[in-house]
Amino acid sequence: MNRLEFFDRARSRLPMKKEQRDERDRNLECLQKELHGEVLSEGPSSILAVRYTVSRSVRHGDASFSEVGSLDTAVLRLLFSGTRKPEVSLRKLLFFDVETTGLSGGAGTNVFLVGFLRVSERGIEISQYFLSNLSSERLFLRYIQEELRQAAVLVSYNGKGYDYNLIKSRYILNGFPLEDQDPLHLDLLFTSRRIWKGVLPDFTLSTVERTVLGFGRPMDIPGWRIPEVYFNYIRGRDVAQDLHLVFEHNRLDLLSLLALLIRQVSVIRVGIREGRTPQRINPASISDMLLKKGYPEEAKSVLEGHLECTEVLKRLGLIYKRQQQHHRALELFTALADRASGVSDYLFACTEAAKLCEHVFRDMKRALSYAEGMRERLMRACAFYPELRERLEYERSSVERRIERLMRRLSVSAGKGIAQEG
Amino acid sequence: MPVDIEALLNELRNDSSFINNVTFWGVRERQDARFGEVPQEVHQELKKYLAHAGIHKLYTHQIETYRAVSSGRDVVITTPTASGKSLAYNVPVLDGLLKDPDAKAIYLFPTKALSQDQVKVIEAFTLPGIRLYIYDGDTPSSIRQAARQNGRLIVSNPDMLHTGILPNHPKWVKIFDGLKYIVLDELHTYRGVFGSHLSHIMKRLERIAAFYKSKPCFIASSATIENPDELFHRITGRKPVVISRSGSPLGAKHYIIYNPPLVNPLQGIRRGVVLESYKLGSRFIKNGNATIVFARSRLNTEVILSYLKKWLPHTAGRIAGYRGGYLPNERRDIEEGLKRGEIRGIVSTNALELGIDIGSLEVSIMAGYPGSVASFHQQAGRSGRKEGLSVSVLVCSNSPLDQYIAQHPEYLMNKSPEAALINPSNIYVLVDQVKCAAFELPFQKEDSFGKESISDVLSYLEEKEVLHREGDVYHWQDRSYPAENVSIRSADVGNFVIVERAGRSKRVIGEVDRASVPVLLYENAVYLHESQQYIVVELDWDKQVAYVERSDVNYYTDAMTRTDIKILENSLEEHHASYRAFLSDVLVRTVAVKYKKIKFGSHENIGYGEINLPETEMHTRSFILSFEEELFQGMSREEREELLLALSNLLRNISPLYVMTDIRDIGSAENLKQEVIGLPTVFLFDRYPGGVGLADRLFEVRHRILQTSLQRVTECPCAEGCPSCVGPGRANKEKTVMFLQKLLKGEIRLVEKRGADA
Repeated sequence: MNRLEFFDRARSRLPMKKEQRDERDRNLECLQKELHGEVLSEGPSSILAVRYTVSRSVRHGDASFSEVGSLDTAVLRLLFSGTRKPEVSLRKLLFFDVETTGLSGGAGTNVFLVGFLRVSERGIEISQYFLSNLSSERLFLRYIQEELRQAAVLVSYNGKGYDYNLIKSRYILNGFPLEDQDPLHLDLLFTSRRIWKGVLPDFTLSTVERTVLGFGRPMDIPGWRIPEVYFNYIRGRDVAQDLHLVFEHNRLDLLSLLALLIRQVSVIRVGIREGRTPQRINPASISDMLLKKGYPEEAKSVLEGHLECTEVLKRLGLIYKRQQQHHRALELFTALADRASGVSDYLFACTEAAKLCEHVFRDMKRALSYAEGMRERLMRACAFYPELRERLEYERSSVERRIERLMRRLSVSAGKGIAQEG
Repeated sequence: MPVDIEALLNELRNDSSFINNVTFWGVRERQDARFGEVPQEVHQELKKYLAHAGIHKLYTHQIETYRAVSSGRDVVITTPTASGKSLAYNVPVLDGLLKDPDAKAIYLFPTKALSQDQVKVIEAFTLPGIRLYIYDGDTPSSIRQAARQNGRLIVSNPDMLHTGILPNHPKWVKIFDGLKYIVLDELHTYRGVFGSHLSHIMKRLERIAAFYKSKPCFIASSATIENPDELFHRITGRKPVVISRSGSPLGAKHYIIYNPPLVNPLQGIRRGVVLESYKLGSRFIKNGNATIVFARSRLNTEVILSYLKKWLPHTAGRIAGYRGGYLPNERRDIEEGLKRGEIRGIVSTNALELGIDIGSLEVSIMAGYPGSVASFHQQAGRSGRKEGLSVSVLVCSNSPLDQYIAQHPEYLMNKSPEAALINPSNIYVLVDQVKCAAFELPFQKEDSFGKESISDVLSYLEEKEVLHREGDVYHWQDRSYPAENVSIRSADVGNFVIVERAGRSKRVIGEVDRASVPVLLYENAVYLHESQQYIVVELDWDKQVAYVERSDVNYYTDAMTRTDIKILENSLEEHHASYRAFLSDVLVRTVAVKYKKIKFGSHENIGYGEINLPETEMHTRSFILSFEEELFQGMSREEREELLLALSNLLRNISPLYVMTDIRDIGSAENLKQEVIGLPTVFLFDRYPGGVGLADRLFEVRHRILQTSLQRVTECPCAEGCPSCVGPGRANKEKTVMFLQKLLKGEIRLVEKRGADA
């Protein structure tokens, strides 16, 4: 008896085999015709490449690419993570996006379509490489490596965590030597998080497209179907229509990347210039980014546009304090103390204000009133949050010390005052 | 205040109610250490560390291991518990890593708890350039990346290797590139399903290592079993050097086998193992001796624990339970409590049998024979790890196996006759593992998998559209991540979660594997956890959740099942004068029908309930014995039925003497006139789908099992059959003896032999 019969009966819930005809060539022909693709071959290996130029006048949701040439490079440089500010310009960017046979990652996940986008004097150039049979992966990867090598900077959406790693895995599986260092890579997922943290409900590309770019995809093939399309193609079924949709999906992803980058740069630029932006942003995390890069004035200007937000008051107060503009700093901390709803914001604001009053303005009375305010708030909080008691008690002991010291200083100066009067 | 254990032993010697029931009391004399110099060529840094740690000499078996590994051999170390096995493999591996900066090592432990424990040991070495990382389900993702980038020594478990590391091997380039050592600790635990899976996981590992041009050597440690070299060979595909002579010192130890007295000599009923073990345990705990009691089941663990807590109220807070189903942090706390000596009494299943360091206990009590000689020595070894006197007591139950051992202590004390079995050809295991391997690297058309030919599996998977063949290469072409759906420890994916409902609040209190659900979590079952009783109020089969509520009924429940077997195909067949033996593929249908309510304390049966769960169907392997009609001459139908039932009970109970397995992994069934064979028949089948080699081994050693069974019944002191031989309440002891004698007399005349290769 065949040893697999029982396995089948007990375990397998896999579908019956579908009809099997080799439609691969016909599918490829269709693609080639419709997308004006080109078969690249070498020996027995062959892949399909599709290259075309998109006009800058095309619209992408409420975004357009007409102003792409005037992208503010100074602001672009701010988007890179950490403290680096690389010398980049639009022409040096290579946008990329991959389509795969699964989302789990792992050695069994194939990359079967890689799209690249770059902006040149001719316009927006897109090239897409398609793995048209599994035996040609090496050739496929060679073309991809060639493209990636030419790029000074890669731009992707979640490509640091996913796309680029997958390509690297495929290199390794096909015995390609790895470069020592990964190229410079700008991941727009990270920058989106920074700019719209707390503003957007989540950061899937489709949410960002819809809310930030005003771009919807009514005709799009859903991402979860894409692996199925490729499996059906590989198994020789007629999927020309669906495959075309996958290419289109990839193309739209690439255009979204470009549109999103332009939007991010312009949002930050407007924020710096005018404080406020037409769309909501997260001023606090943008200012953090600007500060890290060494642009306190720019950070200030974004913050000044958003004084309704407590996080902003906190940051702005600290910047002014550092710049020794004490009056403005005190104003901001006072405003924060008035508006703070949480205990920790309130304590922060009062502490800062009390310090300024005590050490800079020598106004012990006012300092004392802040300290007493803190004491009262802490006592109330102790009753409300017994589980935080230990921490609150600790805070209170330092407030008590502050009050004691201020009282002492007050009585000394009062004594002095009497002496002078006398 | 700790009290001299010697005094209590003397007291026991003079206590006639105890000593009269002791069938064996042996003392293992203390053994002195046999040392050798730390070999000259050991790396300076390692020597420095050893000297710093006060290790100026090594035990002889540690030196032997060092020499074998350094000369490129694969090694299995089988010295006793606490003989310094870890140092034996750590020295050559760390030496190798120090001398070759590109070399890497992977250590695999069967449980996370063991990994945690061992990492602390290795971390103490603090050798330059050797970054050690633990990589398991609990490792945070930030550390995972560092482990892959900078690790020289990765400590993990087979599950993580299977689902996390191998399927993502491109991320692990740095480890596989230069992978030189694989350490498999507690090799003997890799038997049955787990071992069968592991043998394939090792093939996957070697396949990937070879892809990165590495060829690691394997070093394993194992408890004493009959076939460590064979098991090693079947798991790794290599022939090992076996290192079995220990040079480590041993404190003196008393081994006592205690057979509870007969309360009903006529029916052969003895005092219960649970009560006797609890009494003995409380005696040692009261005397101030740190004591562990090993129970045979989760249920018994809870029952003994509740007795101890109830009757030792002053120490109740320092007595704990430990078993699968407790949450990981509960377990960690208990392990720590043991190490610090805060816990003075612990009741555990075999979960604490493996080498987790729980400090030095003085007394180990086994409430029933643990089922294998290897387990017996592991459990006995949990007391007295350091020098000094220790005691191990085996309290025998009524079961034939326990009673055989009560009368044949030499079985425990001499060389182990047990073989650890695996079956890598199990089709369920094989197909799943080929899938996982194909996900990791494509197969060529002619490729084998280890020594396993898999061309049929590959084309099957192509047909099922999991693989796709292009030219001669099978590529993975499916969106799933196969390792995630392959459970390597049990037959089924997914444990059932036990949720306590109290008013509106819900709380997870434990987990149970799917196979145990029909016998543990049927509606109205009493479930015990931390000696608290719960009653199952709802079982959601699809969502895999059992809802329980606290209860305080005065009974516990025990499920009864019915089994029906169909023979599919015989792969071996032997005809003797009076019986026929078969090794066959069978279809087993099982349904749990009823449960008994058993009263705490008196253990009397106080009622029944229905179980309404679906019938389960399983394809597996069975050893089959059919008896010629002449053996039953003059017997009524009832007598025949009883005799068959007695035989199948007896054979099943005796089997673990020769097959290293839990008795629960062997199922039995009887048929008065088997449809195909046309004769009265007994089945002993493998409870894992596809079989893990148990039936094959039973077929092979059937003569010894029959003889031992006869011996057991003849030696049993009961008058008319009892639970310790042919089963209770059946006046057929004499008939069984005569039956087996006739049967075995006919044995020598082999009539016909057929087989797959005949």
